[in-house]
Amino acid sequence: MAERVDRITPTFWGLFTLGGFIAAFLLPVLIMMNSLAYPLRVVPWGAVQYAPALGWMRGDPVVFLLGRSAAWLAPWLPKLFLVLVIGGALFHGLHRFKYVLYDAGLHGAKKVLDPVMYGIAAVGTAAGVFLAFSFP
Amino acid sequence: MATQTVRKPYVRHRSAWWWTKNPRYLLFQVRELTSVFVVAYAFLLLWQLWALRSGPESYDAFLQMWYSRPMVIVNGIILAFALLHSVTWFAATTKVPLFRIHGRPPPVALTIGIYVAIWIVLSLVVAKLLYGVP
Amino acid sequence: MAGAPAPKPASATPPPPPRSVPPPPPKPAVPAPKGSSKTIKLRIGRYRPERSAEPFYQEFTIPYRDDMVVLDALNYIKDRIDPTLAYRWSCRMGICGSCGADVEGSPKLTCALYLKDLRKSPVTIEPLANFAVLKDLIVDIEPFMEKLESVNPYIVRGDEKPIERGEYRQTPEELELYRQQSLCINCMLCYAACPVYGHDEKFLGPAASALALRYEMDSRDQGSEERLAAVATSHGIWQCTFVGECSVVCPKHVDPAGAIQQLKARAATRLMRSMLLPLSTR
Repeated sequence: MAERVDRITPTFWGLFTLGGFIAAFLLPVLIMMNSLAYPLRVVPWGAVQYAPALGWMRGDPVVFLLGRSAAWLAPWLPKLFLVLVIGGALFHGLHRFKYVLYDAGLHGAKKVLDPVMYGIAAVGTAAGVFLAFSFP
Repeated sequence: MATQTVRKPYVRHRSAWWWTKNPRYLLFQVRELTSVFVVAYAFLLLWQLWALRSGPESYDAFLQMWYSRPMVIVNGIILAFALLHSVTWFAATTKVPLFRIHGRPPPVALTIGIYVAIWIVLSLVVAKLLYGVP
Repeated sequence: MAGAPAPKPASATPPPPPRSVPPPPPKPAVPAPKGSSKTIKLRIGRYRPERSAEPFYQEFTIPYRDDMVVLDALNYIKDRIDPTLAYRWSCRMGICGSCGADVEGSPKLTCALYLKDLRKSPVTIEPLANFAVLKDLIVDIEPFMEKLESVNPYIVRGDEKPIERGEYRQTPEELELYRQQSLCINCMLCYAACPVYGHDEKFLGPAASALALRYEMDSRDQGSEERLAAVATSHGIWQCTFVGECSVVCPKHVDPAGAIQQLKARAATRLMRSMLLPLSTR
């Protein structure tokens, strides 16, 4: 019954778990504030437009909290936050969705599903890194 | 003489509708489907970043779409599934004890309490930092 | 380590004298258990490979008392109505793990389920789901036994000490770490409840995984590396999607679903450590 030990799955299971925590802790509040706060009139129209959004990417909201000595961190934090959320959500969700597809009958397709799913997650995360860090 | 089996095992196959057999199976399927919405929101964020990076006109067009009625409904549905993910995730991860008290895993209620406390604090912090002073 | 499985003459019982299939319905003349006035209708899944290729259902209406369990009903049928009914049982007290069956679609120990608590009529009793059926309520447990064996379910020592130096001692706290997983009675209800096993018959499954964790958590054991390798194969713990139903149906609260998640966490951290510290041996 000797079978080869699977080293790939535990690695992606680790990312799935990490992403699961990130999504569980951060996604609801992000969806609430980023997608529904304005329609629910929690924030005014002025707060969701281009200029404040760009300012957010620059770290404007956190700069006051950091103090002078740590102010250089401010532009990094929002970008890191976005990369964490996007990467976490992708590696979590696509791993789980892979098992949904297995269960739906694609059980024999492991060889195809693994590279496709984790490939999408990796490319999406890379796109997130590229986009986020292309802002000043 | 070689022994022979006279067995004729009857193999049954799982029904495609197995998850309708009891409510826990159904909740499991819904829980697994939260992944679709979690992934969808990641792609929406990428889209939003792309629009923001492409300049004010492009972002204005994005906001027109983002705050249109159908999109708000879609985002509401995504939020519902994201919340379901959070709740089911906290419940599920209690199965792996992160620490032990006198050699025993902590009570499930304590672990969930810790998760919910972290969740609330993080949510308040993120909510505040997304728009500066709310 | 097991040789060729001994063929069990499960269906080799001499065919009973010619009789119509299915056997005739119960006669009202059957003596009732003392003090019974109520009757219950059971719909029992039957499979008689020597007679027909397909399983079928057969209904029995029997008298019962409030203190009778489903297993008592099966015994009643076998003793007084139809001696050809085949099923496994032994202890009648929830410890031998032989008498599992699907009752109304959910896996139960038939010795621990009272007839008076069954609401439907007729009550459907079938062989445990997901297993191959050999005869009537008897399923093929051979694959399950092989899975149990595959996880090295014994204490593995790297350094064996001579017998004069005594036993390997353990504190009550160390025992507590694996006591829950050690309570498994191998009734296989968890496999019948597991949709992943229903999908992939090679899946290691709940009870065997819980057994692996039982030895993983044992302070005397030193075979963790081999054991984790044995459970982390392509049909091993990673196939589990944590439906969690195995832990719901477990009559001994072994929590195999939790055990598999703990094994995953252990296997993942071990792999991470071996990647971060390639020079360390363990």
